[in-house]
Amino acid sequence: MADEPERIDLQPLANLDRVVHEPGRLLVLACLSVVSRADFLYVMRETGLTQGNLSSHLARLEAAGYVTVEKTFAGKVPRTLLQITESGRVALVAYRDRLVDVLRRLPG
Amino acid sequence: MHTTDPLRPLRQRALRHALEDGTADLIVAAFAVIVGGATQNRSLIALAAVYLAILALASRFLRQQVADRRIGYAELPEDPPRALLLTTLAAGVLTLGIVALITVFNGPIWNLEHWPDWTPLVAGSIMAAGFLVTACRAALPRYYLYAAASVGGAVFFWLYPFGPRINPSDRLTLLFFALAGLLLASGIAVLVRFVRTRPVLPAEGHDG
Repeated sequence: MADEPERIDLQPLANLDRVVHEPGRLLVLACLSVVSRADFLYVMRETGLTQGNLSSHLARLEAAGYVTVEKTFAGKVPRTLLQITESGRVALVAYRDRLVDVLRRLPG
Repeated sequence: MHTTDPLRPLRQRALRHALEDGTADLIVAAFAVIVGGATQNRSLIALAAVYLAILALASRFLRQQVADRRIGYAELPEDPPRALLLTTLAAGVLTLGIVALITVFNGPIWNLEHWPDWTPLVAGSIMAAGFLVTACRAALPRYYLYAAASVGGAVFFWLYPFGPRINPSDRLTLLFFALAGLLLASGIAVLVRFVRTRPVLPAEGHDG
């Protein structure tokens, strides 16, 4: 009787946090995780996202409670300050750990 | 087990961002002149905290005027320009402290007759360590140059036979002034290139 190939449990993939899973949002979270806070321009430059794309990703991340968006002024110039929240950090680390765990089980 | 930090390149980029415009080099150059001068007039070293605070504010102002409008604003958990200012202060204060310890047992404190020739080596090593740490963490080639210049300058101002007109304490001052000159020249070149190659970007609107 031939051995049955080992079944790989990929179920955790379905449980990945979809807010973080989107590449643009993942970039934004990763970028914000290494700074205390940054403005819109910095994140746009670092991620390579367009203004519209970044705005929509930020809205989603803010709604999930992963980033805070603060409208301020630097002198007379408007500035949007972005900061990752504690739950954003936790979500990023959990996403990375889960993905690494699943990928490690894949053959090849 | 070998573990790598997947966010390391991003941390490196964030650090580079803080030093990219060259204003940090100019601020550290100014502080090196102040600390170098204070090794001659030691009452000035007591005011170092004031200079440090003023220069930290000046650094923030310069960055706001030069870099934030071109490459954006980012606040790092540790501020590289501030760390370099503290390194410069440490180089001055620790070296003077060592000289004070040595000379106090041989008469008046900081007595020139007993002032060792090797003080540039102490200050230069501290400066080199500060520049090297920054260079490694931010992967910025010019900071490797500063580290090498600190070591080279330290050895030069320790060993070069200047003659009787230059006393041992002047050797320490000259090292700080030489490093300040290098930082100033390099900082200006970096700043000019930065301003030329990075246009001011339109301000963001708050309505969308």
